[in-house]
Amino acid sequence: MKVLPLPIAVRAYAVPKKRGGKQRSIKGSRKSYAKPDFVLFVAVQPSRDHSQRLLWGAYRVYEGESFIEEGYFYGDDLPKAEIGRLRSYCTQNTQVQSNIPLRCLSRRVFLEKVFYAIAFQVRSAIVGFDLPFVMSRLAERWSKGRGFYAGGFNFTMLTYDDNGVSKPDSFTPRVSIKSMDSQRANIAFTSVRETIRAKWKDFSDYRCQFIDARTLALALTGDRQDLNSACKVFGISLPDVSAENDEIGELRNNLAKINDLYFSLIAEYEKHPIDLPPGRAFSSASIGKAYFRKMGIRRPQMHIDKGLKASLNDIYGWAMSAYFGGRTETRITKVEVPVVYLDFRSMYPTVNVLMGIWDFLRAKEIEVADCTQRAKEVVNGVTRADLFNPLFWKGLTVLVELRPDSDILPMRARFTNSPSAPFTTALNPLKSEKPMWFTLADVITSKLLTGKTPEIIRAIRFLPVGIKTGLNKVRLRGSIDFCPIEDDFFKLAVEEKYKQGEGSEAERLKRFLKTMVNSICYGIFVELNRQEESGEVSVYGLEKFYTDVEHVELPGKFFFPPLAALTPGAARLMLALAEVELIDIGGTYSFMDTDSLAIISAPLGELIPMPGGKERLQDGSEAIRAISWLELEGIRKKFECLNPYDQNFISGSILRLEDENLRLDRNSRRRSRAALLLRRLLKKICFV
Amino acid sequence: MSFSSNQFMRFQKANMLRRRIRLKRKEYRIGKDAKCEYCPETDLRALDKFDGAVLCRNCRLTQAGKSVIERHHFSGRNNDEFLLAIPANEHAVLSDYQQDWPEETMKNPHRKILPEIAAWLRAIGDFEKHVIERSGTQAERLERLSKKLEKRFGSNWDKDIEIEDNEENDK
Repeated sequence: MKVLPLPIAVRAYAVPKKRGGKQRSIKGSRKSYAKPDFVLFVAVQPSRDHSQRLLWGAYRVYEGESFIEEGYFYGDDLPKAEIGRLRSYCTQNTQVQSNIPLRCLSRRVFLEKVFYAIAFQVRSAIVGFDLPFVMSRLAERWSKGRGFYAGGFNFTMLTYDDNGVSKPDSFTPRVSIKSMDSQRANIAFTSVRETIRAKWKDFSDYRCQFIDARTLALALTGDRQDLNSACKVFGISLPDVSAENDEIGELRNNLAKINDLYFSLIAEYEKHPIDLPPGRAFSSASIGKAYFRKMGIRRPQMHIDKGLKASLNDIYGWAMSAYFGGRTETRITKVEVPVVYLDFRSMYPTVNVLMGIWDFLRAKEIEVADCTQRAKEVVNGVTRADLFNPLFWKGLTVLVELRPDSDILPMRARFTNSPSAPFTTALNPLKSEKPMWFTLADVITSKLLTGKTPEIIRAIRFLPVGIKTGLNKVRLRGSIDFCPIEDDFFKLAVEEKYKQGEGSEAERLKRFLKTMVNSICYGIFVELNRQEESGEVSVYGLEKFYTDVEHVELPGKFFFPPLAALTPGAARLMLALAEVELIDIGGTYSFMDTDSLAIISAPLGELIPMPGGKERLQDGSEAIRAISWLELEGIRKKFECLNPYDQNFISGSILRLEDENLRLDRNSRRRSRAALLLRRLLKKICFV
Repeated sequence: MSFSSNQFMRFQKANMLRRRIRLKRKEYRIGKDAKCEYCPETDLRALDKFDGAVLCRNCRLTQAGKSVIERHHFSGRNNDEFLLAIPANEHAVLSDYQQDWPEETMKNPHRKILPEIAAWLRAIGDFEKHVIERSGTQAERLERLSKKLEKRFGSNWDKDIEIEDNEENDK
């Protein structure tokens, strides 16, 4: 076999050198959650040209859940005729709809009398949908963010005229925004003068929260939502817009939706017994981490055996270099083939339960020691039967250093000729003179796929010792009791998901359990937060060296790369196990993605013409074999013994049929055919 | 033209936000469900913290040995010199209402006649509203007292006590 030299990328752990001063945090943020007394809802209508300047906006104020007032405000350069239209709408709608006046204010008056009055005089929250955009439309000027908000923006809301020169009003603090992505942003007021701080003296434990309903919906559902879809998920019936179907009335309707959505989101959020303010719940992982904090779970402490002659940073570096994402692969593209689409039930939580990852999280400390000899014996003697023994998986918490010699291992490289192509991960025969680190699961995967035992240089195992003190019981979403000492969080979350019945409440609980447990399976253990500052870093990994980087990265609160590397490694092994079982009976697959694979299969089995196939049709042309559904059931059945869950709730194999294989009534199977249109876009799959 | 109920409600609610913020801040300062330590006064506007104790203005003045009667600028200090002698608690409440008036009516620096009349109308409205509120509060107090008396002396307690219509005169 010809070996092509290909540059590969390996992750590393980069520790910033000592930094002056203490770590910067978000101004005004508070760890604990206190319910705001006042809520200000804001929505804006921008112009349709490229400037998207503010035409008008609408606001509503609630004290608790009691409506106080609502109104419109208009942009500084809105023509008089348009202001007149807005005023007349307000007058008409006040008389018709309620006794409460619909106020019509200028932007400046709105900011002075409503926005800042609420933000700085009472415990309040400012709520919107896509709040960064709303704030930017309200602002008069912008400047570059500083400190924690470097890379973001500072918005000056109000200015005053100083002898013809417009200057920022220093009594109305600016709003700082730093986006994490299109759905999430940190938003807060900048530092304030003593005169304003004096107003806070009656509630010094609180700062105005900015709550983006879009971000909160994402955190609670795990899916990106627009206003209408979020309303649908939370069962909010949308107001009828036909009666006032113009731009002004529509904005008010949107505000009503945001208003209803917020109260539904908060009602859902408050079911979680966590201290995280809703404005800081950026994703399901944020909620998961808050639960961990509530339970008393912290970053595991390591006790490194002196014989290893390695520091904590070395271990982190090795683990980072062994960390790869899920295995995604295509075999057959642009050809329609009969498939059965299979999926491992809750893959990441399942492998975490099998490996006993929860024991590591609740452990007093994690012992790290050399186990080279034992690892060599295991890899040398491992059989497929061992892998179907759940106890075997407990021993996979090992990292292995080896010199790859055409072993099939995960690697990160540019697999096209384009120099700008991103580095992607794939399992390929890998040959390297330089020793590299992998998880034991990846090494066994290679053994399964090649039949060859890789050359192991060194191996280290992780072993949980004791149980942390100060662990607390929690009630998940206020209804499921969980004891971190007695229960396995990953197991309980998956079982509870399947225990829930039908109905919207049960659906929400299921959705929450699914998104949260997946988000905390391994992502939080490899959380690195990019900073807007350059600096020198010490790099740990395959080599140790120093370098300058444009953006230093700081590890998250639960950063612990060994656990992050182990979970996807075990998931790749699970997929490989299914693959070799399939190859054994002469079958193949169309594609696989992290936890699922589309096996080429027909009800009674058949040969399918395919150039390059190993089988031959009667006319001698090349073909592949579509295994029968019965043979497929045989493979699925083998995975029953790896089901770690309570059989009363989750019975049968962990390798299950996806909905694409079922008819709409979900009671009978249908023949599915899949055509993968583009190799790199797994989403472009057509099931027919 | 009559003053319709809708218009009256608008008149009342025009500055609801400002008032709610003001009351909330008072609540932060003296605590939720605060009550005067010496009397049943619960109106936040009449209460305040003095040396760590929550007292109404009447009790505060009594404690200091001063008269509880104060003089209230009925239509605002800037509109008219007309003064109303009322208890300090009522003075606090009526002054609080005045803070909801539009600035041009409340300040009226040039003593313009129309804002002055507007101030009078607002003052009368506030006064009536306050009398209605107070009547409700006093009625509730009487009802509570009646229940307590029934509980203590039985349901016929009022029949057992003979009250002569002209008892005072007989003496």
